[in-house]
Amino acid sequence: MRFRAGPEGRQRRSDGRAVATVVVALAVFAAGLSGGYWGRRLETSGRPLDPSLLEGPDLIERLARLAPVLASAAPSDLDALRTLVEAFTPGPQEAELILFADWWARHDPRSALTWAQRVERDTGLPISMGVFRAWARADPDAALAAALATITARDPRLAQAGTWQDPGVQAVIVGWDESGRPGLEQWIFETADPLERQGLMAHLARQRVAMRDAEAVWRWALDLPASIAKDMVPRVASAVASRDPETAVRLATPMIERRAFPDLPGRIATRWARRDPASALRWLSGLPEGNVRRDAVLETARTWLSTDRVGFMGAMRAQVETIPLWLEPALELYARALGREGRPEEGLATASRLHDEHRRDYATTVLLRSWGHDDPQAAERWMEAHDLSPDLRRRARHGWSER
Amino acid sequence: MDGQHEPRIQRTSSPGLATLVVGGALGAGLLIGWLLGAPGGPATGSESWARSDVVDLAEKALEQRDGLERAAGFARLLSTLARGNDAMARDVAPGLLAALDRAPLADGDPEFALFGGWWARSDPDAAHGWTRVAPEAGATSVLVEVLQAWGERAPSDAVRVAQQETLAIRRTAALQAAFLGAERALSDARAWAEVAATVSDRAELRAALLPMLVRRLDRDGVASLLAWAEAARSPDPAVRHDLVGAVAMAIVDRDPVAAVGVLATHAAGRRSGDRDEAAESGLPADVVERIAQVWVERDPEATFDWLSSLEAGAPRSAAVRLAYERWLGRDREAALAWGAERAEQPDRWLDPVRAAYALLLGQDDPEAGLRLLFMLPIERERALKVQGILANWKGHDPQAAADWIEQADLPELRKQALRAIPARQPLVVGRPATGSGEGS
Repeated sequence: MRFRAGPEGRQRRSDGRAVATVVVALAVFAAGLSGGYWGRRLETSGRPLDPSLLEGPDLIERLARLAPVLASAAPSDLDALRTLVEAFTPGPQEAELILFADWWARHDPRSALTWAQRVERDTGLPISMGVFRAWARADPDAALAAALATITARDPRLAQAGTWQDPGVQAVIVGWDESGRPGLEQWIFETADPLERQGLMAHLARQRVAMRDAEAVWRWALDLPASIAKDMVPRVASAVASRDPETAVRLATPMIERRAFPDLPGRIATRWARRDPASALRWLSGLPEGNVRRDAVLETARTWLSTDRVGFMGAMRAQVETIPLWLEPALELYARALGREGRPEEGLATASRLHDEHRRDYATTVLLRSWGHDDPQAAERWMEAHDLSPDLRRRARHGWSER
Repeated sequence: MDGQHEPRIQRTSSPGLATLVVGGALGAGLLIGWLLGAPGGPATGSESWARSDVVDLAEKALEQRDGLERAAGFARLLSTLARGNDAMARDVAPGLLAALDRAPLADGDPEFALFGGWWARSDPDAAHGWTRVAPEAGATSVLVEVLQAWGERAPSDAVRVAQQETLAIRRTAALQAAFLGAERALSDARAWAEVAATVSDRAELRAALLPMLVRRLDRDGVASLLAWAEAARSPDPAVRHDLVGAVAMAIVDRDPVAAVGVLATHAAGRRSGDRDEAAESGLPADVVERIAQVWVERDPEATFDWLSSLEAGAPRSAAVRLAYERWLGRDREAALAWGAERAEQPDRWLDPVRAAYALLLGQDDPEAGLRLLFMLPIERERALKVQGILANWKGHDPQAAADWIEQADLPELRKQALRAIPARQPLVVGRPATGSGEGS
């Protein structure tokens, strides 16, 4: 028995057909999307390579041509790519070679490493890093073993004490962390030698802060067992401060107020000083007085002096009249720097204004020793004209008054 | 009637519409998939983008987790941004910096170098400042791109700034980059030589010129490079001398014989009256060392023949040692056999070869190695090798080592020093030709 559908039934049937059509269309669209995508990828792989791929003086243009080719190349393209890359003269830049090493390592890391190490020897460019990083993404244990074997072959002593400084091991850490595979933290945290472990931790901290949200990395470090957190948190603080000092200050302030991790102010301020030393010192001025702040001010001032001498000298000159107590460590450094610039009398005048007696005497002694070494008569005249303790005079004359 | 016609119309038109829709979906899918399939994402390009467009595109390119895809996308984006539009570049640079900061990039990734070079085209001071303060821009690869772009824009400034780098290896790379850029900016060879003359360290200048000269060599060939060097002749004899040395170093990879010929021609020129103070000082050590190390990989015998003909002195000794070590690394068997033949020869220029050979011999036969070493002039290098052999010997046969020290024809003070050398496990660095034949 057949029923004739009424208007509602026809409507439902029509709706059903429309839905089916949409579903089929979506499925076909998806199939088309996939077909188009892979068709393009297959079309670009296996194609004869443009011999001018790496020509031209501009890295942007070269990578704009090379990277897409590598991204779609198949293992069968190796010979053609290798011929092209080996004919390329890299200059002081290794980006093209590292990308090629990365691509090759995805298919055959051991051969890629052999090649990269040869090129590295010939050019001095750190090509094998690309191999270790790509290898570690796929098989971190094998990549680490290969990196350690490379160190051992170079110098067995380094394999016990210097792996954290090795670019290959550092590249393994990056690739391993990118892969999300387990074991990286365990390997680092269980490294027996404390200096070695802390060096590896510092690299892990830098890598995580570079690739992830700083706050999440900070929370992760704080949640580690206390015996590990005591080393990890300061290193994360350094890594965050190198990139974003204000965020580092915000994250670290509760710890600093609780006087947990005493070296946090110095770590943050010295990294901040590379970008904005005046702000770093201003921040330190608001922290509680004590050894931690004194050391941090001195180290921050030292960073400023070594990275921007003119700026440091100008900023300190403006403070000499008032000599804020918290800034004394920096002003002592300023006084000694004046001596090294051949202006010992100015340096001694600044030193004489320091409130802290030990700091004042130490700066005066250092300045007079150095001046006396260069010009003993002038130094002697200055001492005669000033009221100094006999002990300070004796120490100041050490090394030059006997000549 | 209408009621009967309507379903018929629906029956005939509905499949047509459905086919149209499905076909359209297939076409759209294929088209979009094809565009997305281009490595690095769909091609883009416009000179009239707003700042937000550029930053959005950069963020999309940089969010790629795959390093090759990411580099492809970001390089393509930067390559489409108009060159020479400094105002636009300065406008978008902070947004791109922020995008880089948010991206999942590790220090040393090529995106930083790409951006540094791009930024320096419009604002080299700012780009250079970034390399000094930001850890992600601290890699030498970033500095190199910045200085190359700066060198193209203002050669003297770039060379001056490059010389301010405190680490020697970084300074050399910075100078190389600055000269690569300068070479593109200065078509007049003389003007270029004037910039070169501002580099005070002469060995550094020769190393700095190398990539630029190699690039010229790749592009124009040996004859053209030599003609260019001749045109760039500086009135300063020291710069002239450096230029010849650098040209020889650049040519040696391609044609070692021609490189040696360049040096010989220069030397002959000096002898024929074109004398100057710098030339009098002989061939610079770095030039001799580089030629020796490159040539020895192709023709060791010819290399050592050439080295033996050079003036005696520290540069030649260093070059002989480095060349022999390079040969050992390349073809240990042949190098050891050659060293063994010359172990007893009296020529002093072979001393560095004998020292290296003796160290390897000492791994298997400490007595023979030490005997050979004690035939050499006393110097720090020999002392270190003696120490190395004895430490290993004490590690695996302490009694034999002790006996040798007691019987050696040496002053007592020297013997005391040898007795004090601590034992260590042998460090296997290879075996001489007289050994089992199994390499390390």
